[in-house]
Order: sequence, then C-alpha cells, then structure tokens
Amino acid sequence: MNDERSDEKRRLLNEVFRTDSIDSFSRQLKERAWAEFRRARVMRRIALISSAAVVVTALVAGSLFFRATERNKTRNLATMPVPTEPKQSRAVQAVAPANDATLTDEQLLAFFPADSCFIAEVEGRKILVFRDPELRQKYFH
Amino acid sequence: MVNGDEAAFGEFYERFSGRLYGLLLFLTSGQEQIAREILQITMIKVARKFRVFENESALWAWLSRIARNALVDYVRDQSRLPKPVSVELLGLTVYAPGAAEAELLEWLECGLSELDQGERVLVESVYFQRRRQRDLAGECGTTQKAIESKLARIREKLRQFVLQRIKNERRTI
Repeated sequence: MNDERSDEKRRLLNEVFRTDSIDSFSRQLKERAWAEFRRARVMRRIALISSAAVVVTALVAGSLFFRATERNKTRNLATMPVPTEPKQSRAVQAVAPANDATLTDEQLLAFFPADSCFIAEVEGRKILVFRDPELRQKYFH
Repeated sequence: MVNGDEAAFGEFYERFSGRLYGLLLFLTSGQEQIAREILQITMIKVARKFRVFENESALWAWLSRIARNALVDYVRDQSRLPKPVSVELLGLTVYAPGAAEAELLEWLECGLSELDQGERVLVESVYFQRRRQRDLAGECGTTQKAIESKLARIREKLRQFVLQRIKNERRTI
C-alpha cells in the first residue's frame, strides 16, 4: 500500500517536473532525443546488416574456394601419367645395373630398339612413348 | 525501445524526463540552467545506449547513474574554463540518487499538505485514485479543460514549493 503510494508520488513528481509545462525547452529536448534515438536505431540496423553481409560473403567465398579446390583435384587426377610409366620403370630397373639409382633419358632409350620410342614431357612429368603399340605390348604386357 | 519503437521512446520520455529533471535539480541545488543542460545530455546518452532492464527500479538506477555521471563530467569540464561553476556542486553528486529522490518525495508531500483542501482533493483523485479527469469534470459540473488548467496550476505550485526547498537546503549545506 505504502509502496503503491510511493509509486503514485513518483508519478506526480514526474508530472511536476516534466518540463513540458515550463517552456519550449522540453520540445527541443524531446526533438533532439528523438533524433538521437532514430540515429541510434539506424546505426544498429546498419551494424546488423553489415554483420549479416560479412557472414554471407564468408560463406560464398568459402564455398567458391571449396569448389575450386575440388575442381583442381579432379583435373589432377585426369592428367595423371598413364599407368605404363611405373611398369616401364620396373622393367628398366630389372635390366639396369643394381648400383644405378637413376637413369638418364639416353640410358633409358638405349634399352629399346633405336628410334622405336622417345621421351615426352607432359605437365612436368616425363613419359616414354612408343611409336609402335605392338612394341609397347612386347615390353609392357 | 531496444527494438527502435518510437512510441515506446515517447512513453519512456513522458514517464521519466520529469523525475530525472527533479533529481538533477536536487543535485545541482536548484540551478535550473545546469539541470536542463545535464538533462539534455542524459536523454541523448539514454537514446543512444538503451538496453533491457528487469524492472523499473533497475531502469531508474541506470538512468540516475547516467545523469549523475553526466553532471560530474559537466562540472569537470566547466572547472577548466575561465569562469568555472561552483566546486561545491561536485560535492552534491556524491548524494545517492535513491536518497535524493526520497528527499524530493518528502518535500513533495510537504507541498501537498500546503495546498488548500480543494486542490488536495483534486490531486488525490487524479494522481492517487487514478480517476479520469472527464469523470471529475462531470461531478463538479465543469469542463475537462478547466480541470486540466487547475491541475497545471497545482503542479506549478508544487514545483515552486519543492524548488524552493531544494534551494533552501543548499544554503544549509
């Protein structure tokens, strides 16, 4: 009950000192406060929209990057050297001296009949290409 | 208000601007010019930073803290000018806003007791029994406009009474 009366007294105190009744100061104050309130609301909205835009941009960039990575992987698989290469090297290793770790191009070509094959470079990798497929079958069956 | 509702801001202004102004008058010992200036600063800060509160007393505590801090900043700024405001003004800002308002309410009660019988009944009916002015006008055989004018005169009387008490109190500090 006492609290209720205090609340009513506070309401009366507010009315007594509400500057509306005094002069035009209150109108100006209210207008300034309103303007500030609207400005703050606009700023809050801009901040909200900006953060949403940042999130969307990050998602789009992430998905584009992911797709590009996937595409690169697929392309790498498609351009891998033909499986003959390992076989070829195995065959060469079989006849090559045991202490030779690597062969030069000329040494490799020397294993096969003259002018029957050549070494080509595809995307940075060297492959052995036979002019006659039958000859290739002979060595890599 | 937090969602940017203008009607809510209007209601907030109606409900708290007077209370804040009264508090600032108390804290500035009735210096109306300074109190208005601080009220303006306070309202602008509030409009910028409004947030959610559990209840009205938490909201009021926040508002009065902003008002008091704004006054402290104002006095500090003014003290750097060639004609500074009274340093004693800063001393009053240590007054807890709750205690300040309790005194204001006490003086308001004194002011009410100074009113004549008819005025007191009118204030009692409108502010404490929450009766509608239109109904009171009907009962008294007068217009609502006349009731409104009478209430405005009473409020002004109470304002002057409380303001005088604030200023007198200042002299005794």
